[in-house]
Amino acid sequence: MRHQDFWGRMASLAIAVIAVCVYQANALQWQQETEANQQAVAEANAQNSGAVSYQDGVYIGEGEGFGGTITAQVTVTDGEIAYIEITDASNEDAAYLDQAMQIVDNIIAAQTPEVDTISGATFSSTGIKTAVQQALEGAAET
Amino acid sequence: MIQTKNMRRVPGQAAKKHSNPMQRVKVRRRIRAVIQLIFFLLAPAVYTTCFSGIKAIATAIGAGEPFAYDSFFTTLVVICLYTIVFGRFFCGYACAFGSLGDAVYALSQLVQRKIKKKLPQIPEKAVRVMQKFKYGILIAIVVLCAAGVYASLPGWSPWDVFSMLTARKGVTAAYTIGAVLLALIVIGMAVKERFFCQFLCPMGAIFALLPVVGSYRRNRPNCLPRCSACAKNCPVCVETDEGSLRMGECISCGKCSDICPKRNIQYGNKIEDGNAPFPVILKALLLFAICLFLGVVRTF
Repeated sequence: MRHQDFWGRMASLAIAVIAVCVYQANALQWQQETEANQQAVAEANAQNSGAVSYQDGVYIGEGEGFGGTITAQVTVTDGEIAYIEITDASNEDAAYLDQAMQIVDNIIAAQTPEVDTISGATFSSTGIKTAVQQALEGAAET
Repeated sequence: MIQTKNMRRVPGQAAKKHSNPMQRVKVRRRIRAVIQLIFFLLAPAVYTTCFSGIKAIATAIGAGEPFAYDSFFTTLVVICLYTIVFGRFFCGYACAFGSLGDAVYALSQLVQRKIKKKLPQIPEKAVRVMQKFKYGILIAIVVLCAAGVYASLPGWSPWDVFSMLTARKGVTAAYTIGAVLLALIVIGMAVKERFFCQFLCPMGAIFALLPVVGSYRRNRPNCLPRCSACAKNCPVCVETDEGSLRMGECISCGKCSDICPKRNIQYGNKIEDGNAPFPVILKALLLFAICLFLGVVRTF
């Protein structure tokens, strides 16, 4: 085989190998992204399915807020957290409580009390969270 | 030391009858047959394993997934590297399907001699054209794999059928097409030496495109005038000083070097008598060690 011929072949082979390597590097990245996606979806599904296991009914729970006890009344319809009412928060500062009420929407959206507390109203929102958790302890039994 | 002795003994026998080149050809043909038989019995699946590597990569690319670094992939890479360094020695000496072709052709030659009738020869021009078919087959299989439809094809592959036979398994009815194709290929093998390898083999298509370091090459100025024994004896119709795409067809069988009345065909610019038994046996041992390492050697 002549030298020219040999190096021509070598160059073609190198191009082919590099192309396959570049593909492989990209494909590995795609795979990682897909896996991360799938994991996120699986986690969300697990959370959702966890929320669905609540039994219908009205449950009451208590939690320690800033100034005293907060009482929450949780309504579960069709296995979902449908409605949360704060029946007693008489010792809470109204401004803080107003801010802390945001956590109620968050809990209903996530269908779980395991959400982040509201910064700026940490004590009040923690109190609501604890109250809902306690209420749902009664609902989780199957 | 022991190997050196062996090396001396074999050419020694030939040296005694140095004036008789047919004796030399006979000895070397036997060495090749023994090597082929050993590989046929112990490592009959290397060629399919290699090509499965190609199919796996094509399938993965078609599906947009990364391909796995499995034994198919390793075998493919290692055998290709071996071919780059030593030429297509694997094709000429170790491929089970190639050996099947050689056996069928030898048998057919024997029968033709006995009944004193000769099968028609394929003219060289047609051979050169048909040698391009294998690239088409390679591209077709790669495209089918990438399109993701290859796996759902009916059992058409004559290789699969042959693998079942070498694994001493029965051929199932699902492989009827493959069995018919295999039968047709065997007929082709009886007509033309290395029929499948040069015309149809998709793995051969890849090997034929690789750069090769260890190639056979004649020292033209030293040739006998108007001698073309090497070209006439070549199963794939190449002349060893061709510097073209066609040199990739060389399957390193060494028949040119065996027949050369002046022992004028070198191997890899190093070995004067290109197909001397010692380097051939060394190459075979190395390849066998590689097969052992790859885990493609069969255990009984």
